[in-house]
Amino acid sequence: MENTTGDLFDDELKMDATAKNHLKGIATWAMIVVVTAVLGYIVTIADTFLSPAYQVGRMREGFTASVAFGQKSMTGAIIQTVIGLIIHFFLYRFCVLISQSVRAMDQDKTGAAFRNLKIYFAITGVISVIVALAVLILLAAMI
Amino acid sequence: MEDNKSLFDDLKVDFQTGAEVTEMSRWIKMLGIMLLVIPGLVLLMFLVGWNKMAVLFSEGLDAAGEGGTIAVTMILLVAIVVAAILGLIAFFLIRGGKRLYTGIRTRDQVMFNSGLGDVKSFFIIYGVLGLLGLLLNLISLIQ
Repeated sequence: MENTTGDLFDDELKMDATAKNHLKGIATWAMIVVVTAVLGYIVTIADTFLSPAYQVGRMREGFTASVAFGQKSMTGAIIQTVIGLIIHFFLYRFCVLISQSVRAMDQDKTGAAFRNLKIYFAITGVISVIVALAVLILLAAMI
Repeated sequence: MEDNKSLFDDLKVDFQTGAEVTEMSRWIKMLGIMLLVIPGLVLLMFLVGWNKMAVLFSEGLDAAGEGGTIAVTMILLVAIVVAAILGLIAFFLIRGGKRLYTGIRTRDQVMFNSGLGDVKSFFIIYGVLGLLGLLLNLISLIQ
């Protein structure tokens, strides 16, 4: 009987103790990444509001160069924050789902957790390609 | 009954989870490769624009004297450290992606677990860097 069970399930991948341990570690560190990223965005936004360029822009009347510069950096910070929050939302979902899945042995949540982690890596990958293309364009402009 | 529960209620890498992990492993590998490509392109950009930078550096060195040499050395040191960290992250991502893919394809539990271990190492490095980045951000905000 034991042999039969072994033959049936031996070639099946499982979330064994080692895998669960790794998943718990990934969830913990990924949550640290999410928290530091969100706090970082808050600091970035605060820094942009408090930066001299923005204050000079707000203090002056009319559309001066400093106003444009101040608004530009604010726009950049907001775009960066929004994209970052979207990316890290998927990482947060992964952390929550994988923790629940390991605790409750919920197979559906395992799949959903990995789907979220896949989306996180996919978006990050696409952004890295865009960055590489931007660097390539700069390089071409220099040559 | 208890035995049956422990035997069959364990989390498995079913078809759905396997498909998600396989796709995720491709994105992980691509991100790892991009983390090698982008610094390479930046390095190429530095080499191409070296003449312009050499002029800037020599002007800076003339103006700053002893301090300029220290500044250039510091920039080079930071560049080496950043390249080393990115290389390490890329190494874990590429190896992790390969191991996860092979683990799923060949149903190799050890390979799958070590792939998860590599992803965990990536998140540990990322988390530590995130904490350091947040600390530096806070320091710059206070100053």
